[in-house]
Amino acid sequence: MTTYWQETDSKQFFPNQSRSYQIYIANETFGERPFQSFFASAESRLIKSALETIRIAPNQEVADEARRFLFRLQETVSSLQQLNFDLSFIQPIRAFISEDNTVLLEWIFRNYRIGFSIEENANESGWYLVSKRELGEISASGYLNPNIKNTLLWLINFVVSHS
Amino acid sequence: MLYPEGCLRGLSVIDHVLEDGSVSTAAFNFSEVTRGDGWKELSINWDDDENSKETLLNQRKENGEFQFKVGYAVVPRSELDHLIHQPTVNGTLSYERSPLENNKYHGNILLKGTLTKPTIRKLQAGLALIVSRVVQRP
Repeated sequence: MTTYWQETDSKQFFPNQSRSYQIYIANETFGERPFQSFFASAESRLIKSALETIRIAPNQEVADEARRFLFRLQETVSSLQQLNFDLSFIQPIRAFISEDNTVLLEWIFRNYRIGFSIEENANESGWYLVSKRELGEISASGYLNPNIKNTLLWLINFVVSHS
Repeated sequence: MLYPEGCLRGLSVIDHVLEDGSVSTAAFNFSEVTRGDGWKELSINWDDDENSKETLLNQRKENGEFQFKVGYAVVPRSELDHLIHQPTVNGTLSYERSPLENNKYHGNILLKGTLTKPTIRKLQAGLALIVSRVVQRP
């Protein structure tokens, strides 16, 4: 049985194991990875439902890619939480499987939606943000390239700003 | 060509409909095939009269099952026109009537076949975003 401590401010749970903060030299710059293993539980509320959905995806290579992307998203959100941004209210991202075996990961809101499409041809995978008139009719999209981090931060910031 | 106030997109996957009545972008997948005139199709029914909904719901596959087991999403034409005329969309999205022998209401939302996948997904999302309501089969 594992005992869990709750760190109240961030509302994050982490196991009371032999590892502790003290073993790390705290470089509190953005993106310090050692801390993320504490804050990013394997299947957090943010991505848990999506991970469950993609288990039944017919193309497991696409599912694996989607899984990797979800953990990256989780990691990005966790890194922001370390900087004391309260992101606990962000709604979980959903996963949908298209007829063409694409895995679509979506945040669906009344007046906008943000999505990430994980395609069978990985070079065609992308992201999008569309919004209604009241949010400026944004219509943006792009590929999921290795430098997606800044785009991810922008999209997460959009969710935070309009939730 | 005259068009009614809205069109209906049949839904066949229950997981594509959310608890709050919104619908996933995945429900607006365009055909992979590009026609000779350069368009890809997304099948719809034009909501010309009361029978259009019944006709859509009664469509069956070759094995006898309902084509649209879940129901349909309603897309207002005014919103569709607005989307089509956005600067970022201009000329890449359209619609048509395409009556079938057993479905005079049938039509297509059309998408230019030359678009990149992220752009296609973005336009699919734009369509899903303007859905005014989802009607589930009783």
